[in-house]
Amino acid sequence: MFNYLTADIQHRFGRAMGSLIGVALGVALFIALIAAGNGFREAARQPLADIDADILISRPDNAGGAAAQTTRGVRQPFGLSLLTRDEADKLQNVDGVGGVSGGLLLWDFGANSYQTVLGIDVTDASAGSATVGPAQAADWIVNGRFFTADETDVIVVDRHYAAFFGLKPGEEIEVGRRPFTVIGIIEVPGGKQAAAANFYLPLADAQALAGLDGDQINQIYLRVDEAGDVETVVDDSEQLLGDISAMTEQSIVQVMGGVAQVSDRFAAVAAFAALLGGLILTAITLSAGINLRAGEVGVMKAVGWQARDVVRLFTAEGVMLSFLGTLLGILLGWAAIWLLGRIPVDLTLLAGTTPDFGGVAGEVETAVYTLPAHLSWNAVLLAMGTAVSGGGLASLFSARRAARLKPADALRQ
Amino acid sequence: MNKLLSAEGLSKHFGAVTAVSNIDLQINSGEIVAIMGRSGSGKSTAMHLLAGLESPSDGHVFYQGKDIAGLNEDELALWRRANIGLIFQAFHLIPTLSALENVAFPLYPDGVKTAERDRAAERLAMVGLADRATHRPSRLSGGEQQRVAIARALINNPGLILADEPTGNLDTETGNEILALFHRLRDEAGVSFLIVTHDDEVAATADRVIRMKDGEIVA
Repeated sequence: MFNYLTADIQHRFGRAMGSLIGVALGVALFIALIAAGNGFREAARQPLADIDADILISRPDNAGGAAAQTTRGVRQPFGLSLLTRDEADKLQNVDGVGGVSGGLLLWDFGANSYQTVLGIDVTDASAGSATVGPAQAADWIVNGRFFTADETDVIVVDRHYAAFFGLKPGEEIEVGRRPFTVIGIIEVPGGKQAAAANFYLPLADAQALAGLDGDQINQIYLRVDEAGDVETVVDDSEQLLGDISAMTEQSIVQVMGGVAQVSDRFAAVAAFAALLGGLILTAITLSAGINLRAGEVGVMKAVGWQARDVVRLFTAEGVMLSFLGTLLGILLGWAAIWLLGRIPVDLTLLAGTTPDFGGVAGEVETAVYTLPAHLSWNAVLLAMGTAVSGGGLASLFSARRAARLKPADALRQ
Repeated sequence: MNKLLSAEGLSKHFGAVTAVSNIDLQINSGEIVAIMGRSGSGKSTAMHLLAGLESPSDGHVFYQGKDIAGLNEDELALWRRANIGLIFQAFHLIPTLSALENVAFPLYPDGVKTAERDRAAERLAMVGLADRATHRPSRLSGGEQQRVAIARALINNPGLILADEPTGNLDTETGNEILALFHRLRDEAGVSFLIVTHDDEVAATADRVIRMKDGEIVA
């Protein structure tokens, strides 16, 4: 009987393709949409996930203005106002908060260039990856070392910046007209995240560069024990600290724009709708194919095939075509995911990480961050299971109808 | 001669239309019988009733003494597979299969292994088409296609072959070759034939002729 199936697919290739193209497109769309949804979610999660945080709190500077753009030297990023370590300590007591740390993000404007500078509280740096926030940068060292809690006048440089300016550990550079010794080079994972900067230095040094006292910061990083509590913690933080801005995975998705938002909300629904549409198309073509072969059903029954033999044949054919369609769909879906993975994702929207105008730092090579779209084997297995069983069921119903034909009636068709 | 197939009081109504009316007939082992009549005389319906392709409105069909009219569809299919072969005017070959595969087609539900393939090849050789085994129907002439259909009908060593206008789509020469083949199979393999035809010349080659008109046997 397998002989008959393969011969039918081989010699009626157009009709077979017509049957399997529906399921192929459905599976391809299903896989690609699931990958896009996961990709946008992962892209939105990454800026905070890499520093083991769930929320980045800052305070918007509603009084800031264009006049500040003429400033030289080290200053706070436009649009950001100060927070205090006391405020960070208050957040430590909010229900659901598992960890808190503070940081100070600065911009250093020279005559023809600017750099982003991040002051990191390394009080708990010895705790390593257990630390919340940019102290995680200690894990990203690719050359040299990270600074310790009792060090000053040392600096760690981003790999791309260091490569562009030829900086190596042991050399000295000036930031805000103050010399620092380069002790390490780091590579920011994924290219972009909430703690990305050109320079990383001890928090006390950063505060001194900006003329701030030891209590002042402008970034608070929070880790939440349960992912579902993020929005509640944000609400509680707003109640405690007043006018703040909170960056979360969800807020990044919103800022990333329409496609990301639509994908985040509707990718799964659209994926299932596409798969269902493909299955319906295949069911219709399989059913039509069986109806067209009513004469062959008549021959089968005339030469001694029982109804169950006819049902078994057409069901097997439906399963085989659906399986082949699924394989084709996986290939098409994989190609679509490969294309999705070439889409650049704009994460410069992370507040304060980069001044919004040109400068030497803007010319530094940076890693292009693309959509992290990957083939999900769970999606592949789900699509395959649904498509093959759906195709088999559709064929089963059509085959049972065909098998009920009287042989004499079938032979007349 | 042994009675192979017989019908008693066989009738078939399609709504208000009576296609076959109360016919009695008998086919003996080793006999070639022709049912003759004009188009619409009920001869093809009678053949379908005798083959169990159509269920009778009244009457009985006996094969080797067993009434087959009470069998269900699947039991009839198994009975056909074991006991009779069918040949149609339009050949009814499977277009995607080779000649050899078409011959083996009745065996597909139980699986076709080497022994079955050899048997199919042997039947194809019996009808003179050993060199056409791999050809699909579209690459065979009408006469060759009908020979493949005959080989298919012979695959299970049936005692009886029912043929509905077997030469209807063939030229005279090819038709005569097919009829000669029937006689050879009767003589060499002991197969009985019931040939439905409207052609006097075809009927003249039979051992016995049953004439039908308006659903009834008239001679």
